[in-house]
Amino acid sequence: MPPLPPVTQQQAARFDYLEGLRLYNYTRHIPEVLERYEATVGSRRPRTMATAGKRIKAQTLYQFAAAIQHQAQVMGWASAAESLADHGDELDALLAKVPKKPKGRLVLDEVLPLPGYYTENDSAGLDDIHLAPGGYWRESLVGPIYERGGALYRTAWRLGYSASPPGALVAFAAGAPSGDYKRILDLGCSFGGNTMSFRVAYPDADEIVGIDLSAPALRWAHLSAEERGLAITYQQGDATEMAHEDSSFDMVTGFLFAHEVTSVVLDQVLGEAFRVLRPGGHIRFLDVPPYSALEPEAAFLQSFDNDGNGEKFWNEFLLSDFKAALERAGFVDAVDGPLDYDQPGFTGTAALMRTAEFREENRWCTSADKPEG
Amino acid sequence: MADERYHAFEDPALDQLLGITLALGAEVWSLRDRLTLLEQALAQSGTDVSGLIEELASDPDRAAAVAADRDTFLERFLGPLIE
Repeated sequence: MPPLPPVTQQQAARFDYLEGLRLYNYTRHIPEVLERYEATVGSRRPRTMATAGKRIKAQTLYQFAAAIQHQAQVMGWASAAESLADHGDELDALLAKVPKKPKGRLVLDEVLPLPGYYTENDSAGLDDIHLAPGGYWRESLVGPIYERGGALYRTAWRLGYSASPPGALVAFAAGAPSGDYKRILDLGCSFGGNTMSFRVAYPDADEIVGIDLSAPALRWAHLSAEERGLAITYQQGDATEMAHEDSSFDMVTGFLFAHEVTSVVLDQVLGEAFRVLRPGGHIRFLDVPPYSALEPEAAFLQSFDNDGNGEKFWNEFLLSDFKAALERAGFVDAVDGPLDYDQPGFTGTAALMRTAEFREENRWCTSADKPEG
Repeated sequence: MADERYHAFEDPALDQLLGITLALGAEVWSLRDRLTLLEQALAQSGTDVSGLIEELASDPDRAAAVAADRDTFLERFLGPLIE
């Protein structure tokens, strides 16, 4: 990752504390909540997420766990911003720095209108995406803030957001059916982690493009890719209306993107993806699993993020049939399932409130193809 | 708007109270961490402050003074409940 200003002892201690708080929640509170739930349901297992949720929500321990999860997120962003507040000028200079011989490109569109669903918040900023003040778009230092605060969410703040989760994204990229992928497009790429993994998996591709609404996020993505010597074009744009020509890509992808937009917007995005993909091209997304793939109690725990973590469209997406949406857009042979890859070295992924142990279904792959001819 | 904020407990005041407690926890942890480092720094510069602290703490004459100090602290801390 690009160099971040050093943290003071007080800031490091605060991050350690918040990371410990989350891990405690995941390893102690949530397993105990599930144990108590099991003890109360006996053989009359709730069949729906709503019924399971009603029982779990009634537990005071769950209420504490949920409140801690929420507060830790709010405190995490505040601590991340605070640790960078005195270094604004040097970070701005870092972001403005143009690499001498860049491998990739950064193409910003200063006048791009940002859609309402992306910028509006109606609860004093508390429903900004992931509760990060200003969401992805308003804060010029959102890259460095995510590098610390986002990594804290993954309980790996010392590693940095762009360094985690190791392995999973490259495996996702390399897991596409074998084919000649010369041009690849990453939708809603934010800080570019997925885009970079595709470059690692397809070093000989002609061009790999990451598109996102947020200029500050793309600046950080560009900087990170150049630091790693990866040739990527980061481009500011709206995936519902792209400038790319018809049939100009061999593969289209998206990582943790589909749950960040409304289903109406997602349909528009899939329509555009279909247009820019060549016949026979492949589309693949990595996201969190739909509720239908989980036991009712796990689905309920996963639904926490909708209200407790600023994920306004989480339920809408996870209740929907993503494969059917792909087929509506014209794609064929839609398949989904857990991503098959070696378990990473750390268990603290963003997989919680869903228990602390590593579970392969926490990374859910949905893919399809554009018909030939 | 405060009433639209996420709250895990039925009474949002409990969420706020937990928030205060967790913030205090962060401060306590940071101070503990700094104190440990301070002791290590002093030890490295030749002062066994950890040993001295244990020695002072085990002084039986200290107990009464500490008890008075503690009572004053608790009065400040919990006094508002019965004011």
